[in-house]
Amino acid sequence: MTAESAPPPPVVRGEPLLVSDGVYVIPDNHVPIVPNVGIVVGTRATLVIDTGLGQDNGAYVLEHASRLGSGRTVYVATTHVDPGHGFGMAAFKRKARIVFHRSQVEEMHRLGHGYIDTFSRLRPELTPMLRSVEFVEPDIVFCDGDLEVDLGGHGAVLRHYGPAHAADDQVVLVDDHVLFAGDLVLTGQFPIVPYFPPFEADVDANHWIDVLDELTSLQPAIVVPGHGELSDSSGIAEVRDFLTYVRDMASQLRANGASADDAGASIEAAARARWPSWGASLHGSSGFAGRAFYAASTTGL
Amino acid sequence: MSTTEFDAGTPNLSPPPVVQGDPVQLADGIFVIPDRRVDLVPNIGIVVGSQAALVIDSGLGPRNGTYVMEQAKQLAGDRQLYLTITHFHPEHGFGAQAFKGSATIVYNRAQRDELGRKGAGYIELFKGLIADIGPTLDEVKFVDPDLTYDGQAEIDLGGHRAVLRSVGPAHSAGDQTIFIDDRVLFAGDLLETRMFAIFPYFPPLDTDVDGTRWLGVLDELIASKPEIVVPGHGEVSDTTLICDAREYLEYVRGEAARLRASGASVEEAIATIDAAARRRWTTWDHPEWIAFAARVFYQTGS
Repeated sequence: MTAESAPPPPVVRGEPLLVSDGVYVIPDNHVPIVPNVGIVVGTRATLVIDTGLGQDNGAYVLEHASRLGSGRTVYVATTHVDPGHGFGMAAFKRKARIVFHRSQVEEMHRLGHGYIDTFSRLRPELTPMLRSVEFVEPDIVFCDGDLEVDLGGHGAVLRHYGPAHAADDQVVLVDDHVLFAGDLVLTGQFPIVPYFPPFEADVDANHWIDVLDELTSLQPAIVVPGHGELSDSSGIAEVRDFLTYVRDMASQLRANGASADDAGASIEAAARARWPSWGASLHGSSGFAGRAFYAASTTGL
Repeated sequence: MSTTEFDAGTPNLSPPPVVQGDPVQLADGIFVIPDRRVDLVPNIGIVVGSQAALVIDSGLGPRNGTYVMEQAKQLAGDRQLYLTITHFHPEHGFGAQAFKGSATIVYNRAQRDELGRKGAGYIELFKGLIADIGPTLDEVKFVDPDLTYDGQAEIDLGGHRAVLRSVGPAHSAGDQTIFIDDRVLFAGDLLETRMFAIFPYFPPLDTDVDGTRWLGVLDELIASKPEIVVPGHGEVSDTTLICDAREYLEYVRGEAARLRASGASVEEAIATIDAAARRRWTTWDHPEWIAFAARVFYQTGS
């Protein structure tokens, strides 16, 4: 995104694309804040993964899910309760079964309204859309381990992995081979490292690297990132490369006595040179990543 | 599973295991279809919220399951239905097939796995132990849950919140408690009213019953202070029921350990404990389970 041209409004558009048997994605079309939305259609039920921002996007996604699922029971989950991913949930209330991990309920209560304020500052033209967001309680909350959803012929495993990108990261693994990774994996752009103390500093970049190793070990054939083009395990590896690069540079700079701001600026410049094709997303900047790792590192490395 | 047939030679005087009667309201929106103290009939829960209703246990076989579902639908109207099962045993969960497709079936992982491991074996076990049960069991088809959780899950029914918690192994590997609004406890066979605790120790099919952990679970249930306690079998009660059950288990545990330490054989210990417990709890049904409990505690207590 450049300063002179405002990004397009975060509207989920277009037809769901079949990416694997029974598994559809409504692509993000490279629009900031729009996530890749998943719809998994079984013989008995349909699972939606992420809603888009606000009532209208949520309703659009539900309409496609209901059509693809021929009116079967719809479950809806989110990779994390973040405006683009989970703030369209109200459109599903009473029409679908909303399934959250407990950490997502906590994050919604703790950060939901703060996110609206923050995003309204970042994108003032979206304020009406953000202000109309209604937070709804889930129907089903799982607290420990995995939740398995049997859709009839297709199975989805919901697994909590936070804190990494967020405190409430969750992936959805469909039929052991399609991984909906949320913002743990982005493709073709810098990962979003939301380190904005004091409002939000839950990102745990070191744990994020460990989580990526675990996701790699799942050996998914298809990786659906939170934003960007679909990929495979190489998409996970690229994020891991970036995070380890920033981690190592941050600890080295800190050990050499650089300030947090200087380290952030140096890392940003170096990362832009190293990944020249990666554009920054809304708040994805390697400077934030550098600060996060700087804060997490110890001077004695 | 509560049955007199484990007493060799005792004729089956109990009526057939049919879930009957209307749901009784325990609290606003919280109902029980009472077991009427009929063997192989559990207390069945139906919790009706503004959005959805939760059924707890199905009864044995698809006919009982269908009866329970009809009762639930009468109470719930067109609300969404959930079904969960306190534990996999035949009279609690072997009617779930009647709900498949109509309700969202929710199990904890340990229970789902236990049903997979032992379900068919329990059908054969029951056929061998219980007269005239074969035709009912032949109608049973096992169905997979729609949702499987680990540890704990919560369901918002609209005005009522159900907390499902995986607490086994105790009575079974997959025991689950269901708390409604933090005040009504559906305990499955972790608790029975005026009935000796059921220890389903049937090697090699089933040796998962764990009396020591069971005692620990009862301590947790006492600490959670439920106002209303619905046991797997027998009358609805309150926390005193948990204390009564705990007292009995602790008695058997202590006696088994004492007798074992004093050099008694397992059969001697069982005979002693059986006789003493029958004298102490004279009003309780199904004393045949005392020997099972004594054996389990003798084997694990040291």
